[in-house]
Amino acid sequence: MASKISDTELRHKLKELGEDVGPITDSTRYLWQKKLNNLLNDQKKNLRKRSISKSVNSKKLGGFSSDESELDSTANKTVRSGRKRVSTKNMSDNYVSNLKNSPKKLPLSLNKHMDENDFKIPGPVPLNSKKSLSRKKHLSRSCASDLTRHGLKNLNGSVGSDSVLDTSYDVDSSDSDVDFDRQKLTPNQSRQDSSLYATSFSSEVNKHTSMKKNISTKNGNYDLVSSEEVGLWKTVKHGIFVSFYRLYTRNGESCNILNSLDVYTLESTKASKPFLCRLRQATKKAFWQVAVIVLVIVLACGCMQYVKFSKRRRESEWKELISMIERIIEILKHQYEASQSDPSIKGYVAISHVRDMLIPLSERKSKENLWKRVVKFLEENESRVRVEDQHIAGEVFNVWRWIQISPPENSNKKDKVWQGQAFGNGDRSPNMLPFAPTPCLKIRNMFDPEVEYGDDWHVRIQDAILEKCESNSGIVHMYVDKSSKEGCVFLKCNTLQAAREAYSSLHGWWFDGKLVTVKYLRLERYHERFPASRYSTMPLKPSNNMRLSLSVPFQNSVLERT
Amino acid sequence: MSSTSQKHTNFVSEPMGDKAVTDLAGIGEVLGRRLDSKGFDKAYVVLGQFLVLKKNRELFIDWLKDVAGANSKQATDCYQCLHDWCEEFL
Repeated sequence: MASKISDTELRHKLKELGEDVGPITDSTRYLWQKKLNNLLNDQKKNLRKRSISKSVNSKKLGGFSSDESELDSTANKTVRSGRKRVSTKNMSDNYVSNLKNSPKKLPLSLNKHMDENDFKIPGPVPLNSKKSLSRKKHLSRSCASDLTRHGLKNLNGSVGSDSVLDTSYDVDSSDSDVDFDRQKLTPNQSRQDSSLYATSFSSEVNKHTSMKKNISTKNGNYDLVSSEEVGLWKTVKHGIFVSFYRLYTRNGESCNILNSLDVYTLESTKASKPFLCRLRQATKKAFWQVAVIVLVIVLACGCMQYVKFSKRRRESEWKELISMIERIIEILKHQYEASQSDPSIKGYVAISHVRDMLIPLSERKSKENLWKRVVKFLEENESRVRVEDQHIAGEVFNVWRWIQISPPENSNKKDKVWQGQAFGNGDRSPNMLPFAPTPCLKIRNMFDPEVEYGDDWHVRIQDAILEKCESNSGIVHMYVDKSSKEGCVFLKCNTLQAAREAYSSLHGWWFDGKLVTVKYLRLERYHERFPASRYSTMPLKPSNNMRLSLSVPFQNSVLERT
Repeated sequence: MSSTSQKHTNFVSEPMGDKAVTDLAGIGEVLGRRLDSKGFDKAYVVLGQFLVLKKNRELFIDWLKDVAGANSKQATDCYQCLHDWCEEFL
């Protein structure tokens, strides 16, 4: 609409609306149009608000104007033109569309309808005004129920809108509000009984208010109400009710039907939760959240405990298995040794006998699994134990036989020893300096780091050097460089003379099959590398006095041997 | 406005001369590019639009949102910037 009007028109309209209009150019035109649209919309809203408030205050036309805003402009006109006497069909259409659009508007549309049908009932039901309540109430109620039923039928599409009047006065006995239908009277009759209905209606209104309060307190306004409330609701009827509650059937489907048999739960559409209710709900929610968190934590802890426990159990089982295997091997070795010394004893033991020896009778059942694992493990991983079938006392047994493997000739346990000199008397060697330039020595080929074993082999190396230089009490610092491939040992003496002596007693000697060579190191270099050596003055002593490295008499030299 | 940005102070402190559109407060690289592509390559072109809209805050902000896809903050910054500049130099 706005896009079609010309610049001048637009300017004019905006000015009418009190806007300070600037130049309308190509670049500003759409902005002004938008502005105009906004203004128009605002105006409409204001109008609507005003009309609604009016409808509450005044009785006759209020209902109309509020409805107008909801309807199309065409329908609008029809209603206006036939204000005095609108055809029932038209009105019912209006009503149905209203019902579809917003069930909350029900009371207003009802009033309108009644107006047009010459029921002489004004305005919406003022709940608090006692004046002339009786007659109006009854009529509005009857009309409301009729209309509602009619509207519903229209919605369901079963009955055409032409039969409005018929259906509206047709009493449907299947309806739950039978009492209400029975009480329903024509407008003429109603005058006589008005007082009766006035009391029942006002009591229902009271019930409604109390029930609403009750529901609010119990469940909060947006919660569903259980069926026990519905029982109460069944006594409170229709019209006013729809504006306060959304209705649900037993299956939880939303329904507009005012047939109270189908309605199972109610949902209030207006929020007015009391403080206590909110507090209760918040507490409940918080409680559940905390409960869930606690549950999760407990589960996590449980899982962790279980993992730990199973790990521990596996470890202890493994330990038990290993210890059992060690004991078995001991038994087998023992048996083997016994058989070596005494030929009458067999060199094997039946597997079941070993088990009987190791596991007491009471535990045999519970340790059966363990035993099976031990047997399997031995079979797979112990090459020195052989499984055989042997006759023992006439019975065939699976037996274990220990196969003694002769230990290697130079067992690892053998201590490293100084084996002799390579070049004869070192002192006379022409390569040897007659004096020591520095007190520090670097000794090579003392060990091979790849074949050393045990945690304290470097102590043995250190001992070997100290034992070799036992007459020399000037050695104050020594470091075995365990990571060096050359087998380096660094040594510091307190005097040059001591260094000279150490040099001559180590250089050119065979140690554990390796030819040891010694070099002098500059003192600064040594201190740089071993800052701690600067302050060591105490002469070092071997860790024991067994002289292990000197226990074998020296050979003259390897060259001489070969 | 409790405080203004450095860009704002810079712009308002002197006549705009031949400044690019990105020198306006609230107009960054992206918005600048968009405005440029619609022909608003200099700050004075935007000023022109601002003046044509009669310094109307609502309309100018609307326009900037439409034409450059600015958000409310950017548009308001830009409006404030031009407004202050006009107060100073016009």
